[in-house]
Amino acid sequence: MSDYNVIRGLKIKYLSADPSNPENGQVWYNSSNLRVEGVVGTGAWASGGVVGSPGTTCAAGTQTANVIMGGQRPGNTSNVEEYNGSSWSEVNNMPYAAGNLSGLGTQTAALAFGGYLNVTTTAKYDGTNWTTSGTLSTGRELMGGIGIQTAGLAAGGYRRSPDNYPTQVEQYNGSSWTGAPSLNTGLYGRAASGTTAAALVAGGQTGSTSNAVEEYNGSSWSTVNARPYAAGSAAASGTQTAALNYGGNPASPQTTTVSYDGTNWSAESAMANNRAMSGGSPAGTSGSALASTGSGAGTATEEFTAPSGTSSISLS
Amino acid sequence: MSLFIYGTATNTGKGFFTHQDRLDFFLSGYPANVWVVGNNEKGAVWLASKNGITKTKAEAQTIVDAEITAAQTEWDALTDEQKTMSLGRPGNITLP
Repeated sequence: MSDYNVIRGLKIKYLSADPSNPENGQVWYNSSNLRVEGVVGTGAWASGGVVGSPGTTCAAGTQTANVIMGGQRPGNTSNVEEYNGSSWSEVNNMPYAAGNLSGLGTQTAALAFGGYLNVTTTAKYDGTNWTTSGTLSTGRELMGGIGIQTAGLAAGGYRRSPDNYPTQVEQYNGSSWTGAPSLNTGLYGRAASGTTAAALVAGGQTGSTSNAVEEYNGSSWSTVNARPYAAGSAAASGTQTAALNYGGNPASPQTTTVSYDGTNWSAESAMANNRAMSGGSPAGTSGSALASTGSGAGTATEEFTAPSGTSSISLS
Repeated sequence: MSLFIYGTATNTGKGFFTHQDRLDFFLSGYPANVWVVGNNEKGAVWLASKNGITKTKAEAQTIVDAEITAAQTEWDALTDEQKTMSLGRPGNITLP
């Protein structure tokens, strides 16, 4: 028989109350109810509502309040659809049509920016209406979109004619873009999550796919532990210290799902449908995410839910 | 006994497969509504409950191949600019 402190490298904590934000796999003894408790179980993807127009896109929002914006569905489109946790509905179009664009924010405060070909346009969405506001200093596509509508980052990307992969990062304040510290490696299609003060970008591609990961602390980027799989254009949810990456690799879309705890990556249950350049849920969490349409997935949407809440653990 | 059941079923959206389904049996979706399902009782019941049509592996592969071929043909007809933007010709898929 194995001991918990051998498996986890830790002794079980003796607590008078349940911890406020326990992680999956964490176990403790609650001295108030005299029980060994923990968060145990396996996260999994379930089907969600089917989108109206399938194809590649970008997204903002969470698992239950999401919006997909533009993309190729098929052909460059300004089409926008909103998700309410069970079904998609078409809403007001964006002010520009583009494929390979980027997004960030929430369903009611979203930002769509850039796209093919060297697009600098930036469009804000308030949940009903769109307005253009600000232009990227360097037009490019497939940037990592990080943060919220009033404090966002556009990281890396793909600039055409001649083709190059800038390390450039720009920061958005709600109305205009300014320069921010550059990435260490120029890649496009990086899975991005977090905030302007604590960001994470993972994977990406140029001629080949990458598993490189960088963290941003608000003033500089540093390379950290590589993601377990190499792919461009995966989707991401969560924060710098609790992130989920899923799918990716447009030429051969995949179902892979991994989580990051700020130091290490772990495999999670795979999606049922292969997908890349899909809608994600940038405002979601590592335990609650949405993957919609994308290359390879048709109209399919999937919802990831990891276990949460406390369970008593039988020791018999 | 085969590891998988092969079939076609239309994804109807929310509830088509649940978290519990994913924990109960292997499930993987492919183009043209082809599904590969773990060959256990719960997997078989799931496919039947979705009005799925069971296929042999070869039949399922043929359906996927036809869909991929159509997508590749569509891609081949794109202009060079459109091909560049699409970031890759759809690849072949081999069912497990």
